[in-house]
Amino acid sequence: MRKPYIRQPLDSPLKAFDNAQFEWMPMLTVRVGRRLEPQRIRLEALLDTGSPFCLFRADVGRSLGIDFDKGIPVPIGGPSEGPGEGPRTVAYFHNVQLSVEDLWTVEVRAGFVEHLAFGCILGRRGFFENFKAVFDHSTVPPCVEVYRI
Amino acid sequence: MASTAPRPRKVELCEKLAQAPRNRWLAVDPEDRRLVGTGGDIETALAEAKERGVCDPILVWSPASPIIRV
Repeated sequence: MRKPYIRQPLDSPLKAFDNAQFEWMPMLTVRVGRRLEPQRIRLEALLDTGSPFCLFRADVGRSLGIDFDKGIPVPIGGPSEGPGEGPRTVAYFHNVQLSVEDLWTVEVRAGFVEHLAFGCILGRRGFFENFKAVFDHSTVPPCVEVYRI
Repeated sequence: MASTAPRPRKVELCEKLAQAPRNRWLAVDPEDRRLVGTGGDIETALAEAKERGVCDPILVWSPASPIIRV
């Protein structure tokens, strides 16, 4: 399955990159549901090889009826370190059913986070261990090809 | 000469979302990429979409600040 990236608007131009006013992002459409239940919520998800985990906003968990903060807690943070370090938070992990582009369904252990800038992030554990992705930036827009392993 | 090739629908969606409310869930019609609902919670966005006849929208989180994240 090949899918073009989505163009995300930015608040201010990227001065270091010809004042670009948007950023191309690799996004897939997923459905998520509790284990052994239909995947009820359909949302845009960011493909993020830099994330060790699949993450959802906590309100996705609440909407699914998951008691999200009863999950397995894992402290997480951004890449910055030292005095300027970004805020740390806790992700609570639960097993969920994930349907990718209505083509494939996998069970993943995903973290639910109170404040997340995306509805869903697809990371290494759960997503990239089940799917191979090829990121092609030779085209405009860039595209991602995804294969079930 | 300007290109006349049709742009991907997803690009058009982005331009709509740039004008959308922040810090809210957005419900988007999967067929024509219209914004059909917004809400501070998922249920409100889904209910607005349903009122507009879209029962299975795609939900997109519109962050408070669209900055570059690494």
